[in-house]
Amino acid sequence: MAVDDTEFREFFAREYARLCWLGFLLTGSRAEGEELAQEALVRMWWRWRLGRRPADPARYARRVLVNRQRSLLRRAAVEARSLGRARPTGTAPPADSERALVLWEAVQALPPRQRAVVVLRYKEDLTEAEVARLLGLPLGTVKSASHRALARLRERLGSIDLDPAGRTTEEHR
Amino acid sequence: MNLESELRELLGRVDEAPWPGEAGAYDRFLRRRTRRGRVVAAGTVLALVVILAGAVLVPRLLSTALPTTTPAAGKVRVESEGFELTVPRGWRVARELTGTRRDDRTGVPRSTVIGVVLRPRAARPARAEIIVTTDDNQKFDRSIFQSGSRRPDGLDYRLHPGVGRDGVGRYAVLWPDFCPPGIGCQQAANPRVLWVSGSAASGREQVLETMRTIVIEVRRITDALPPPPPPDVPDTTKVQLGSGGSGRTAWEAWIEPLDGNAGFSMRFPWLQEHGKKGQGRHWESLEPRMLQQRTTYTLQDCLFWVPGNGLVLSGLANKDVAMVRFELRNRDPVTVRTFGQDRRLPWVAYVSPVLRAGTGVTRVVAMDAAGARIASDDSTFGGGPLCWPPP
Repeated sequence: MAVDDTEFREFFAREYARLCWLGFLLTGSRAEGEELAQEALVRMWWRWRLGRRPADPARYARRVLVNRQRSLLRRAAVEARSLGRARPTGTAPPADSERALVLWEAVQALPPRQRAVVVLRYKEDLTEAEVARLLGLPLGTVKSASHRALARLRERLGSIDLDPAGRTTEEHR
Repeated sequence: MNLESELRELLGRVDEAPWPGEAGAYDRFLRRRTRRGRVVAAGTVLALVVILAGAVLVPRLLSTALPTTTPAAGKVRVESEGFELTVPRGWRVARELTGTRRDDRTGVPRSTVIGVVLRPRAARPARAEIIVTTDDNQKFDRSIFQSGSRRPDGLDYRLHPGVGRDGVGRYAVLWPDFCPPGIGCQQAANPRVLWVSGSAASGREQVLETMRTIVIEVRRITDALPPPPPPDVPDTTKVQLGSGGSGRTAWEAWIEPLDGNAGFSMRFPWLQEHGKKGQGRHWESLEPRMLQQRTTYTLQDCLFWVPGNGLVLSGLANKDVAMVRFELRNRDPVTVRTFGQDRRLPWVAYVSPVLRAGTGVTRVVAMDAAGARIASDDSTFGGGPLCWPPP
């Protein structure tokens, strides 16, 4: 079955940035985020081409991306990159206030599992059970990761204290 | 607005945000798609060749190329694939199958035993053979277990038609593949398929029954079993692991709770006393599973209250780590001893001397008491200048 390239191209234009951001949020790396998005879209295209277009292509592509990220975590090098606690470079956070910026950075600084849970819960609006299924984790683990993540974020936000230069000084990393 | 709403609002914003470098993205996609097309096409041809070879040639090759193995006590252990089977009565191990598998720790492909070929001790059933081996988990497809059965231990299996004229059938068994401790991968098992394939010119029912016995009785070993849970401590644990430095560079390393969670913290008493409220403590929640897998977990602190600024690296390591070497960009490495062995905790700690701001860390190497490398982390810091430029 032929692929309607126009239609797919429109889909690509609409979803590419969103998928990159999702990949970035999950991995903490701009390059990895793009890699995951591209891979998800290639898989999507092949599915499209075979006439098995999902009912909700955007949702399907996001699931492919998350699953791909999960399987890549198995490879030590990739995981090591995603575990890196270095701040992302060259990707301006969509934060418009000091508080939002601190929250954005605090999410990036979460350990990978906690970060994935937070992103899937609050960006993708999945239930804890759905997150557990998607990440292949027990529900209890997801609940505890979510609880710990929120506690850490609250702790970071609760201690915002700007020095005269405007830096957040609680965490001097 | 509560935190959950804030998170939804903030993370939701990215859906409308542009992505840097989006302009050439479609071209990159087309190139990747073309590459994938070639890979898929090549893969299809290869798969056909492999199936034909498997049906026609492999039995012959196996009978001439590989040495015979007789396992002790009637059991065969294939450690790299995580299974141990008892050789059925009246059968023998005719061959070991070798293949290439990627080493979990190094990622380097290596040749290893990946399965066995069983044959009856007697002449009947004629031309009978049972092959037990696993499949590479990259091509896993859960549908091959649909409408199947379940072993007593909960693993799914299903019988598929045999291949070739003598094919009796192929049992697919869902065989978990757990990531071993000490390397960076997740806790959940990856799926893998254990194949029990039979062929025979006669006595097919007997072969099929033997295959079924193998499917039910084959045991999980090595990476098919979940790794032991990582050592942990109660969330209320508060123990000082050690202290060092003096004056502005004094530090204390603690395991201590924050907001009900156990964590590792570096305290800097001078800043706690002279700085603003809340300053002088760097706390991170404990991640026992991550520590078990990665061996070390290193933090950095920028000592902006020290004249000229400064950098301190600290962290927790698994208990068998005696020394930690920080490999620095364009500078000699720095090696420190771990401490806290006497604290009855599952981990020890390490702290570097105060390093110059702008130092780049290329690798953190965990070593045992003899100086042998246990693990190495070259990704956390990436070698770029740390604590630079100074505030």
